Order: sequence, then structure tokens, then C-alpha cells
Amino acid sequence: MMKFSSGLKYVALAAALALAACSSEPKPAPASEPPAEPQQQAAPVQSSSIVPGSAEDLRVNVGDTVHFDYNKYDIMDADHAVLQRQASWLAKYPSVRVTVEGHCDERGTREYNLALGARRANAVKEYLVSLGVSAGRLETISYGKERPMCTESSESCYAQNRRGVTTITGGASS
Amino acid sequence: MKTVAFAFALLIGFAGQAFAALQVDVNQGNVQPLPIAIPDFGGDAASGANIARIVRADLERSGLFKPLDPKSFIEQIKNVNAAPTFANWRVINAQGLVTGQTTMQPDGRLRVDFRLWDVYGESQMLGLQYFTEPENWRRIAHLVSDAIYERITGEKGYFDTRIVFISEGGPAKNRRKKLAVMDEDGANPIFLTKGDYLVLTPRFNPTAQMIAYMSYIAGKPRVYLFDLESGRQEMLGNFPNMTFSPRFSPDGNKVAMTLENGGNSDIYVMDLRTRAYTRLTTDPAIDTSPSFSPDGRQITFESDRGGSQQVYVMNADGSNQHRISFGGGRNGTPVWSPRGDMIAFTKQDRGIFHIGVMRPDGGGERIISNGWEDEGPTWAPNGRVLMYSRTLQGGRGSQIWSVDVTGRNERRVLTPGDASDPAWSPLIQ
Amino acid sequence: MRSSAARLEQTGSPLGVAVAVLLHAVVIVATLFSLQQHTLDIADEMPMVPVDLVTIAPKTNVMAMAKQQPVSPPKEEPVQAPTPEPAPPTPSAAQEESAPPDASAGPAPQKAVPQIVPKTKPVQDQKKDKFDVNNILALLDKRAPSASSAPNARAANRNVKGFGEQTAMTADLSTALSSQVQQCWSPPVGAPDPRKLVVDFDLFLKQDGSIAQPPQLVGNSAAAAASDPYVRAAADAARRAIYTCAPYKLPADRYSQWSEINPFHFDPRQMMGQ
Repeated sequence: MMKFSSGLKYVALAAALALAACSSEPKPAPASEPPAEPQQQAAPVQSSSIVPGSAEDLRVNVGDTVHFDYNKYDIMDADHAVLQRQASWLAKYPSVRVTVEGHCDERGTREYNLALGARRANAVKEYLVSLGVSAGRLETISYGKERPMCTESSESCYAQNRRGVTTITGGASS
Repeated sequence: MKTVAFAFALLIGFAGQAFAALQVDVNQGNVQPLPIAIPDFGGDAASGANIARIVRADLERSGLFKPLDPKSFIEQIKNVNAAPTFANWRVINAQGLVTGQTTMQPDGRLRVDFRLWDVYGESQMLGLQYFTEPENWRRIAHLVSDAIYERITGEKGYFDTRIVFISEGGPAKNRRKKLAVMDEDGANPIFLTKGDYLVLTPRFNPTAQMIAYMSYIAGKPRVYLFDLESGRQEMLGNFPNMTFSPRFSPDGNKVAMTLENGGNSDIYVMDLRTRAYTRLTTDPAIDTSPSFSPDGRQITFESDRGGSQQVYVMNADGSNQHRISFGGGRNGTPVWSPRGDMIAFTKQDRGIFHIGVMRPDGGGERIISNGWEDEGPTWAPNGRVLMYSRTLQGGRGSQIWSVDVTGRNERRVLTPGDASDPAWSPLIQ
Repeated sequence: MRSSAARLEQTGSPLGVAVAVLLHAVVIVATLFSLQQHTLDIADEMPMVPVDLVTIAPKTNVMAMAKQQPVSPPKEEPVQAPTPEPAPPTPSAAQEESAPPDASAGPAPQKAVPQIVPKTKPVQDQKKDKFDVNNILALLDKRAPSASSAPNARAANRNVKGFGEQTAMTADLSTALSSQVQQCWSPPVGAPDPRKLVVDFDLFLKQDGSIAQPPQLVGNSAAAAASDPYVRAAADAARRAIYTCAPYKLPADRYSQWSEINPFHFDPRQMMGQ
């Protein structure tokens, strides 16, 4: 039978938030989801007032995304600042737990890109850990090329898709 | 006939003293599908026309046969047990002729008789008779196709097989992916998951009763097993991180797959009976996409340990890891042919993804598909035909295509909507 | 081809006519025999092989996913265990490979087809065109043009077997016949072992270029075809080519030189880049 981890609710929430962050498409609910948490994504995005310590706070005011070069997974200089802000923000909200998503552009085979996405997510995680974030608060997940931000077959689009996204899985303000 | 031949031989032997036989070498040919006439099967069961229709479609799809339009037929086959008038079939340029008939047995079973004729040689090449439940007519048609294909090509057919694949729908940025199976000809599609969570890369086990695939159910990307008979799913192993790229061993007792740990991906083999697992690769590079050789003694896989993604081969215990792809570009997703003579793979060359084949020693590389983003080949059980995913440029969806190993007959496979990640079943037993 | 073939046809020599008469007599007898054979009830000599599939399932056992299915719910058919029966009788796997007939020949120095008698010159030209038309590998490589050709280009030099054993006088006949039959020859080039596709026939022709009697497999391929489905398929394909392209246009006055073709050697390895 399917095994559901106790973290399911967090993951579901994180996924919902991540999707809300990068797409207006409706998110299919995870299968057989236990009738759990009040659906956090149902909370309307209140444009005016962003709650400090919330997912939106992280996304809008801190920055949740870093980018990578083609087939690379090292953190680019330009992204040091955003990761430092993320580390500071996580220090400010110590109950928040996050998952770093690793994504790739379409120019890689499916399984290779799963591995490459894992490298990218892990690179972000290690960078945050090096800035003092406890590794226990950081999960990683790779989506390979399965969840593009942009679907044109162009370099500018590929660049947007090669990314690491820090998403909240628990402990955030709402 | 023998005496005539004998007399003839005597005659030629006599004449041979005056002149020797001419020697002729033919080294060039003209590869064409075989023109074959397949009239509707006669008899008292209604399925006769349906069976002939499916056989025509099967053989046409293979690219090795050209079923002729029944409207062109001169002769109406009345009795499957009488020799046809071959001249009537030569006139329409048929080289093969299939005659058949269906009969309802007193016990309620369907009997299907058919014969394959060599129109020019004026001889029977094959004669088979099947008994089955009437509702199985479609499988009987595939078995007839398989028998004809085997007699003409020398290799086992693949029409009585199934495809497990990922059915895709929804927006390009957030595809809904469902696990699905269908017959080789696209008939009888069945969805095994609802699309609530991402599923990828399904593969059949050797009995076609079990599927190993990757699922993001509960937000944790892991390898799962799906038992088609019971509908049960289970996570394979209990690993803290991502597991992916599963592939069964030829005996079905093991699954090779990739475990990710701290951003590093390595290949492991799990014994399905003991659930013990063995690590096969240890370097810090990406090692993934393992696929067993048909004798189970070797595994081909991909690695970027040399600086770019390339195809490697190792012994099944992890020893003797060596690169085999040197044809340029990035090369991955190797899959060993069931017949052992080739490895199919995905080549990325200047931004375009192609399906290629090469020998297990890396020689004889050929590119056999021609798309924008073709990847993830799977072999028909006879090692003769490949299917693969074709992603269209600009997020316009995914399709399944097939191509003959010779590079001929590249065509789209009928699927319900968009589809990707096909994996061919073995011959159904 | 037609015009050149017409040129080839000359008046028959006395010897040729004599042989032709004899052969025709034989053929008539043979035809009578074969006609008689066709009137037999084939059920006796060509039995159906029954395959009982009584318990076969229409599909493999597939249990639906749980609960509500959005699309195409599987039918609630009783799931039956498929029988392990359905395999049609097939020859057992090859016991031994048929050695390629010219394996021992080694890399003979490649020569242009030997001197051509002047009157066959048009045939030769025609033949060259045909070779060009067919000068494509049976195994395709769809590599982008810029990267192409080099790794998989067809070998420039091929050994042409057999001509050394006969006089140059008949080389033009061999070429003419070969170029005719190759139009009809579609060998099973997808087979794993190209060596198994090499087959030899003994063929008797009538003076009008039609087939005098069914071509007989000879040499190594004769025995191998009985046990190896690949060899059998290759033999069938060559036999179909022989039949389909008949009658052959060859000079009637030289019938004595082409009344029998042996070996009629079919070797697709060059097409397969081997």
C-alpha cells in the first residue's frame, strides 16, 4: 500500500504554495490526501499586506529563486545575495522549514535531469547551510524538467527554467 | 516431381560438359514492404472481417508489409482448405496471400483457421488453427499477425504486446501525468492513476504483470511497483532521498535503479525477494538510467563522470565500468536490445535529441529518429522496433513514435491524447 | 533496361535451340506434374496446426486503479490466467550459423566488373544508374547532414565474388541478370546477424527467360534454412525476387551460357554496411 509520511501535509502545502508562486494554474490535490490541514493556498493573496514570515514574504520580499547555467549546478555570483537574504530570513523565523526544488530546462533527458535537479537543489541547500541554516530545516526535491516556468524553446526561456526554488513546507506565518 | 528433377539433372549434367552454370552475385536490393493480400476471413462467425482488418493494420504498421486494397481482389476465397488460384493474385501483384475462416464451434468457442500462401512459389508457407473464446478475437488477430510476421521475417512478432506509458494532459507548465497501459496498436487504453501526482518512466517486468515506475505521490519522488493483477502499489525500498530510473532484470527478480544522496546519483540493484540492495557505482558524477543485457550479466547506463553525459557498460556486479559512446554529442538513456545485439540511446547533438542505436561495443552507431526532442527508447520484444517519446518544440506537447531498427517506418503511435515514456511489454504469455 | 535488353536478344545459335527444345520438353512434363499436384486436396499435405487458446484472456490481467476513473474504465471482465499455449510452432533457434559462403574468400582485390563485350555496353551504363539508385544502405542513419557520411559511409571497396571462376565472356550476363533481379529483392535487412541472410540458389531458366523449375537452395544455406528462421526468411525473400522479376531479358543466342545459374548468390551484407 501507499505509505504516507507524516510530512505529507507539509509537502502538499509546499507544492501548493510553489505552484501559486509560479503559475496561476490550478493545482491538482495530491491523491488520497488525508482530510488534513485547512488548505493554505485557499487563503487569497492579499496584495496589499504581506504577512511577515509568510510564504509570500519569502517569495516577494526575500526572493525564492536562483538560476543556473546550462548543465551546471554551482551557485552563480549573482545569486549569493538572494541566498544570504534567505538565510537571514530563515534565521528570523526559526520555526519555518523549507524544501529546495531543483529544476532544469528541457535540454536534457528525463532521468538525467532528475539527477541534475537534485544537484541544483542540493547546491542551494549546502549554500544555505554554509550560511548557518540548520540542515534539519532543509529538504530537497528534484523536478527535473517536469515543471517549467516557461515553455518556449528559446535560450531566455531555458534560463528561467534552470532554477532552484526555496519553498516553505511548514512553520510559516499565514 | 522428383523423377522430373532427376531427369533434368541428368540432362544438365550431360550438357554441363559443354558449358558450366552461370554464377550470379546479387549484392544490392530494393527494400520494399511485401505486397500481401488479406481478404476478410470467411465462415459463420461475424469476427472474420474484424480479424482480417486487424491483421491488415498490424502488418501495415510494421512497415514490412503492404496490405493490398481488398477492392482490388479478383478472386473471392470461398474455402480456406482449397488452394487459391495464384494467377488471380499475381495479377494484382500480391506476393503473399492470407486466407482464413472463422467458425463457431458447438461448444461456443471460436475457431480461426488461416493459411499464408506464397503467391509466386505457389505453395503454402503457414497453416494454423486457433480455438478461443469469441470475445478474444482481437488477440487472435494479433497472434495471426505475429505468425505471418515471423514466417516472413524470421523473427518473432510483437503485435500481441502492450505498452505502458505516461498519458499527459493539462497546461505545459504543470502537466497532469497518468500511468496508462494499452495494446501495441493503441487499443484498450486503461489509466492506472488519476493524475493527481506526477508519475514518470514506467517499465514492465518480464511477465508484463508488474510495472516499476517513479511517482511523486506524497511529495516524495520514489520508485514504486504497480501490480496489474491486484492493483496494489508499493514503494520499492525505504530510502531517505529520491529513487528513480527503475528497470527490471531479465529474470524479473531484481530492479536496477538510481538513488540520489546529497545531490549525487548512483546506481543500485535491489533483489525483489530479499529487498537487499547493492551499490554498483560510487563516483561523484551522475550515474543513472541502468538497463540490463538480455543475459543479465551486464548493465548499460549513463554517466557524466568524463565531463559529459555518455553511455557506459559494466558487469552486473559493478565491475569493469567503461564508456562505449564516442560518436559525438551527449548520449544517455541506453536500453539494451532484447536480442542483445544493440543498445538504443538518446543523442543530444546541437540542441536536437535523436534516438540512436549502436552495438554494445559502441560501434556501428546510427541515428534512426528525426524529431526535435526524441528520447527514452524502448524495444519491441523482438529487438526489431523501437518506441520513444517525442516532445514537440515550444511546449506543444508530447507524442509516442515508433521506428524500425533499420531507421525505416518512423511513425506516430496512436495514444489517447498526449503521451510520453513508453515501455514495451514482453510477448504476452 | 528494356531497350538494352532488346539489343541483347539475338538470334539463337543452333546449340541453344537444341537445348531449348530439350528443356521445353522437360518443362512441359514438369508443368504437368505440378498441375496435378495443385489439384490435390491440400488439406492432406498441408495440415493446419491447431493451437488451442481456449482460456486465453483478451488482455493481460489488468485491475483497474481504485475507485472512480476519469477515463475509459476497464471492463469488468473476469480476469483469466492466460494459457502458456499460444506460440505457433516455430523452428527451434538456430543450432549453428550458416557460414557465409565467401567467408574464406578473404578480401579479394576489388576490380571493376571485367571487360564487357561491346554490345552490352548499354547494359553496363544502365546498370551503373541502377546501382546509383540503389546505392543506399538498407540501414538508415538520420544524422544531420553536416555530421553525416563519415562514420557510416558505405565502404568504398566491396569484394565481388565469383567472377574469377568463370570466363570474362559471361560476366556481362551475370551483371545483366543481377541488375534485373535486384529490383525485386527485398531482403530482411533488420536481422541481427547479416551472415545468415546470405543464400545460394540453383536456378534453371527457359530460353524466353522464364523460370524452368522452382529454384533450389544449395550450399550452406540449404541446410540452414531448415532449422534457422532467419535463413529461411532470407531464402524466401530471394526466391520471391527470382519469381517476381522473371522473365529475365538475356541474349537468346547465348542461352547455353545462362540456362542454369548456380550459384545464384544473394548477399545483402553490403546493403547493411557490413
